[in-house]
Amino acid sequence: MRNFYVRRVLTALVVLFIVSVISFFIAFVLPGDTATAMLGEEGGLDPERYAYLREQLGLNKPLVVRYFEWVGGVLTGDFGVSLRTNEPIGPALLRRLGPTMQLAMMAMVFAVCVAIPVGVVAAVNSRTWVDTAGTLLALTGIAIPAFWLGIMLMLFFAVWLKWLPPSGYVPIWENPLESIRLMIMPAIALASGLMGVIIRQVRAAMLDVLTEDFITAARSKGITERQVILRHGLRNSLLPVVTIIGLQMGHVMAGAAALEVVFSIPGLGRLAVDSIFFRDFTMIQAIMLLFAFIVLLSSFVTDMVYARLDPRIRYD
Amino acid sequence: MTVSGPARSPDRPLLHLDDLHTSFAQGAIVAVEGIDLRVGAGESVGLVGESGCGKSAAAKSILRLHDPRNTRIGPGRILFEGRDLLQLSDEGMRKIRGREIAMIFQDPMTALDPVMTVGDQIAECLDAHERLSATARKARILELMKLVGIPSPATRMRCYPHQFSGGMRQRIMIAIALSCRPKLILADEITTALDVTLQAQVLELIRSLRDSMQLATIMITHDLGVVAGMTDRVYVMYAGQIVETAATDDLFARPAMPYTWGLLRSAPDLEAPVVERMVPIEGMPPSLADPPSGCRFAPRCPYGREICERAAPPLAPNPVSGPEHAARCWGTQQVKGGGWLIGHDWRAPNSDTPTSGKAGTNA
Ligand SMILES: Nc1ncnc2c1ncn2[C@@H]1O[C@H](COP(=O)(O)OP(=O)(O)O)[C@@H](O)[C@H]1O
Ligand SMILES: [Mg+2]
Repeated sequence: MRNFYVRRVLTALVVLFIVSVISFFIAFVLPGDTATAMLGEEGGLDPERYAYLREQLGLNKPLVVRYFEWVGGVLTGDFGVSLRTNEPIGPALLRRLGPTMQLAMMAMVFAVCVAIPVGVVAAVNSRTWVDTAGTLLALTGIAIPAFWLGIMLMLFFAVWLKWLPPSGYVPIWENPLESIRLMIMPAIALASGLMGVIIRQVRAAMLDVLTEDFITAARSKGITERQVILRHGLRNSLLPVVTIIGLQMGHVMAGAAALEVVFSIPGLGRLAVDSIFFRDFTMIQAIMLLFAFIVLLSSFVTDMVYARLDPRIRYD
Repeated sequence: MTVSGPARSPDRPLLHLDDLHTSFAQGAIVAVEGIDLRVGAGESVGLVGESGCGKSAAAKSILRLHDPRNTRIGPGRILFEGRDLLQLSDEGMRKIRGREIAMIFQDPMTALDPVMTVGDQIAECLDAHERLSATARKARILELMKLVGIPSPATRMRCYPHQFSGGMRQRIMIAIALSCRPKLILADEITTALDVTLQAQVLELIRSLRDSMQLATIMITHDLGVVAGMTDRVYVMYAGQIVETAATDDLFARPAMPYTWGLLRSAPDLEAPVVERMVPIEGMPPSLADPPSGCRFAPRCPYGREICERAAPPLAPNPVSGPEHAARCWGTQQVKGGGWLIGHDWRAPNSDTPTSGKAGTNA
């Protein structure tokens, strides 16, 4: 068990290293550098100011040296300052993390809460209209672009029915109810794809498990059909589902960006989009690293949940 | 019911399959075709036949364990203590399962839920039928595990199936089956997945539990050797039908028809050192979707005559033994064109192939 965690942490470090290299050097394969970005279109014409800025920013030092300076900073919690706003990156990221996490978590909860019952009911009623309806829902969820669904939800529930506020963000600790009301539509939009994937996974896993001998054996004990399906069928079907959910975390984080833009949520995704438009390289680097970290963390958590669910798994 | 089975039956058998039919795929596959089988209280009965003959289909029909969407059970009756189980509601059937009739499955590796502790899996059956306090419940689990010979049950009850060997898992399956003290146990190939030593141990366990708890059992197997010291009576099944039935001693002493002879020759651990050991029956059982029109065994039978392919024989008393011994074979029946196997010693070389050029299998 301990061996497993040591190995997992080492792999994670390697991945983080690779991501850090890519995110650092990607800035240099793009046309224009930080100095041009800061000076803007007209300022770039002044060679003197340009040279001065390059010197100031340390852009004249060799790349490798600059990479290690940057990594050294990151390791001590110093991500540098944003080229756009000039504020320290660390606190800015932290502030932006909250809304994104709230959005991602609410989307996860929605997706799981809808998908598991739908998947189970579809599998139990396989090859009936119930199953077809479930598959349709799943495919629709996967096929519809999240941002489009977000806009439609906004039109319908906010603009026409006026049930929900159209957009914005309130921290959950300031006004929990309003915070959740604001987040419902973007979370549902973000959940749709994940929901589709989970429905299909639950249905497939469940169909598989329901043909197992231990299901017939469980039935032969005289427990109710409901117990057979939930206690034995679903519990065994959840194993592959947990893996899928873990793997989808990256997609969810990426999908969050578009919805943060549509719903004016000041989250990481929006920050990433803004930073890319502004060529705020220091910020982009930090965001990439943070995304990689979150994805790695979620896969780590997935493995631990999996191990808890499946007694046959002993990591060593 | 036109063709009656053996006349011997307890006044009211515990279980009576009365002309039972089970079919799959909208009747396209008739896996059980008109079976008549009786089990008295405390009696042990064998159901023997090659793989694919419909033994499991019959056993699962009793507990209604088939997928109802593609299975039809009936016509026929499944009388348990005089009640027709086919008339019960799903809830009524649930109350029979585990408490009145329990089943033990072939493969202990796949019949236990891998993500539930064995203690919980034993308790599940108890909880389904009885209201027990937590302490009484635990005591019962420990008692059951001890009964089937699992060492240090208090720690083992918290283990998962993968932490047990195949033989131990089969013991747990037995403990589950026994948990609510059922009157009848359906043991479906319970030793097939085990090696020979474990087979003997598990059979011995079943035998002693059966005697001490007055359990009736149906031992389902493809191996006549398993049935030998374990059962009072035997039903031999072929292609969805009962083809021979007799008291176990009688069946071994005077097997009537060629399919049973084939099973005897293919049984691995028969005591008598007869001919060559383990000669499998040539060919395969017929597809149950399209069985032969005459005697179902005729295409594989080295003793067949013209009548065999023309007409299907009834299950009729064997003239050599008493009326309790019946066989579905023209060779044993005194009708026009039949009866040529009456008194034939199955161990003797097959000199009797006048119509077909088939060689004897016991050369
Ligand atoms: N659920 C089912 N659907 C269709 N055919 C089945 C089903 N279960 C069993 N069968 C068929 O019924 C026949 C008898 O099977 P089974 O009862 O398992 O044989 P046995 O237990 O004697 O080996 C086989 O040909 C098998 O393919
Ligand atoms: Mg079988």
